[in-house]
Amino acid sequence: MNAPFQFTPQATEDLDAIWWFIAEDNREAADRVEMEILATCRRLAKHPRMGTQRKDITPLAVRFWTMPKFPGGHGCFKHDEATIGYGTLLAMKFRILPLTGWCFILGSFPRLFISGESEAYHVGSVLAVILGEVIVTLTLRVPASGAAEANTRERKWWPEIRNRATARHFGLLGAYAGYLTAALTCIFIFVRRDYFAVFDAVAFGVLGLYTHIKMSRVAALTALVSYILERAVLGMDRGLNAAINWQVLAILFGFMLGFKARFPITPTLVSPRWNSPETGRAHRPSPVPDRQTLKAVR
Amino acid sequence: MNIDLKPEQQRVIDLAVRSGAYQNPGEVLDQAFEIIREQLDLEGWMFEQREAIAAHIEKGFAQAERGELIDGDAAVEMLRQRRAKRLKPQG
Repeated sequence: MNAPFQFTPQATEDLDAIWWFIAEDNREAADRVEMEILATCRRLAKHPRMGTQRKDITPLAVRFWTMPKFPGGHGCFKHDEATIGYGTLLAMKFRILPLTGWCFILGSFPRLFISGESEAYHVGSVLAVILGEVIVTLTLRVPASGAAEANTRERKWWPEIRNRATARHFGLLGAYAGYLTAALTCIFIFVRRDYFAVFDAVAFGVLGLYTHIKMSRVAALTALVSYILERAVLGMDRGLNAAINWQVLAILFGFMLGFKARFPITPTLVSPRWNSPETGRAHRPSPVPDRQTLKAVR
Repeated sequence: MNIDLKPEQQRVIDLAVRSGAYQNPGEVLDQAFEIIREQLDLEGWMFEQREAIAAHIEKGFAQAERGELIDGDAAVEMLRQRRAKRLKPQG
């Protein structure tokens, strides 16, 4: 069974170093401390908004949590980009949303005046983009739900996202849906001579890239909402047959899987302050805990 | 001082009181403040060591960003096996 959290190699070595440090005097106490740290990790994974950001200590998007039972036993954890760290979230919003939003708007607005399609379609497209941006911004306030445990039955078409590996694997489908939409839009640029559609293509291409490389849930959600709204507006203008077909359903399913895969992941980094006795005692960047503070543990 | 609670904060307090573990909303807040106080007790140490802590976090953060992550249970299992090997000759 997979744990609902993950360690970096650094955190793994820290955990080991803590154990060895205490085990020099008392192995049972070392086991107890380790169990307590792991229990805290599970608790943090279940409640990802616990802890505080400390910009006076590090500018990185991490949260701190103190283990009161072990004086000096501070832990620090981070969440996936755009998941919970407020600083990271803002950075992602400014990088992605205006870029794709402006692409959609630039693509739709000029067509109001030069294409043969109805004005309602293009006005609707612009409004849909703005509405989509609002929905995405509001939804991002929802914290990650935490990766599911592996005791659920495997479902082929709607898989459980259990860890970062499954998130990466199934999230690729969302990225491919973005690439496919961008490619199909490029074809329409030439077939319909609708040169402004290049903005739509760029927008979906960028969203696909961010979903793929950055595992961004902002991008996955933006792509899903944008695609649904775009098809809804098209359906209102030209009827259901023009808006929905098998290809559209397949792409929509890809976006939905991408969104599902990117949303629940909360990898947790635990970074206590001890170094490995095997690797770092000579050049330990962090202080050794005061032995007096560990007496209570033993 | 008057503080307006957010709806989700109010829901948590109501839930805690309904569970029977707390007699009234004041007791719920007492418990929350106690947890915050525990967290604040070691602030002095954190501030003194902030440079060393920041360097330590930076290294781990970079590893996480590169996707160098190990499942928590698998990491612990690996550590336990490694310790067992190392301790074996000592009995």
